[in-house]
Amino acid sequence: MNDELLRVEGLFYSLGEDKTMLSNLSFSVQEGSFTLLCGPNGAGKSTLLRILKGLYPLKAGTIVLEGKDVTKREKDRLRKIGLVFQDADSQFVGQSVEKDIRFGLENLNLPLEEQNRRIDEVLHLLSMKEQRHRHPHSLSGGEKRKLAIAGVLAMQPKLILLDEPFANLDFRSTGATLKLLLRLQKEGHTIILVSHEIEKCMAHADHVLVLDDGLLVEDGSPEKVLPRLQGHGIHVPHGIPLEKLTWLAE
Amino acid sequence: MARRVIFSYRHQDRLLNRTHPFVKVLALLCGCILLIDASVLLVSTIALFLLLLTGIQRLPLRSYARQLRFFILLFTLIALSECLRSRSVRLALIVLVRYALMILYALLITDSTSSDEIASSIPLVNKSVLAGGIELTLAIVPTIFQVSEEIRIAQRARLRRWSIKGTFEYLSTLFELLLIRLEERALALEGRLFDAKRKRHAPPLSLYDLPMVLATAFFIGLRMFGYE
Repeated sequence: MNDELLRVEGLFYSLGEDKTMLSNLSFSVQEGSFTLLCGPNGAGKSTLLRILKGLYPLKAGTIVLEGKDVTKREKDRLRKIGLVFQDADSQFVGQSVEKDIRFGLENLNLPLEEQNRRIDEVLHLLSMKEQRHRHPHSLSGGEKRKLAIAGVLAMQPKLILLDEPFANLDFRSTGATLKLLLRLQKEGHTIILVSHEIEKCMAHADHVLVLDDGLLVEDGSPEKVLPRLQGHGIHVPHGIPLEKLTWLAE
Repeated sequence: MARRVIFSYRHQDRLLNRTHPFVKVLALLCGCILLIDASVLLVSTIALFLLLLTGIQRLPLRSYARQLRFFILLFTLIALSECLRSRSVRLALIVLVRYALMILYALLITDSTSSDEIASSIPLVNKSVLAGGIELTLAIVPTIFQVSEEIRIAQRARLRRWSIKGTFEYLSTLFELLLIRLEERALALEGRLFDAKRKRHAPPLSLYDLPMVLATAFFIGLRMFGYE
């Protein structure tokens, strides 16, 4: 890691004139880093991810990706940023695991051979070869999450955004998802992960952002932010050191 | 593990899965048109063919039983109105079987063909934006049944009893939830760069298409040459 991959300056988003959702957010994310974005329900975390991805229009502010101003270039952001939705079910389009992964690749107009190569690659990486022909809705919660990640990963984005990837997952599936994300980070992917359950993954974060009521109230290293989290309505397990804040099985 | 959803695709290595999607769509259209006023002989012949395909395809009708209740209600209404109109139970039964066979036809086609395969296989259409529309529309059908099943289970868990008010609540919840799901789906499509005009690869015709082609030609022959 060390070049800046994403920089956000003065980001503002509102619904109508009187409902401000995000106000004056500024932060940056380093290439290859693992950023944890946390905050209480309704803080604006999912909205921020959707704006970064280019799904919601920006009201004010600047987004710089790889040194280029992409504020007005939603298509660039759609291509270069991958978003794994909170509800994996709503993300599935294809009617089998393979078809769902292929969907994004077809939209990129890649040649068939390249599509097949990438599908094989992500299925291998995520250990999903056996589920290749299963219907996405017949998969377990953990497998659905993996497929949602696979669909995004195959499109080879520069930055991967994950909205509550551990929601509704049991201990084992959470550990497996976390392990996968850490492997992706090790391979050079940059990750921004939204979660309000810091005990599941904070030990692995390089950088923590805290949103509260649409404002960025904390931005810094986990060591710096951890002692102040409780004040922002986030549950912090008492007496557990930072390195133990993980659900990754030993 | 999720329950199987009616009108959704299953990947299998069986006859219908190998048949060209366009051949299946044409067979479905021809079959439904013929069934509209088919005689007992034609209805029986088509029924035999479809039951044979149901066996070959191992269509999980038992898993679909709950979701098929909507159609059972529809069939009952159709049969009842036909019975009142013609004052003939026999005619009402024939009409009921005709509609049941149309649904079975559609079940077999959707079980063996994914929406993108159908969109990619229709000549001329597959090169236009229409293909994207067909693909998305067909992909939404199982979602409707899935959402209605979720609402039914949630209401049952809260001890809902049948009432007219409850039925209206059920329908309004269904409508609302579908809109939310579709909005999420629209965002997901945009996020995955959905391009309705993207290049689509139609599969070639093969010998596996013959049974469907011959059967459909046989049904048309029966109808045309008046073996009724």
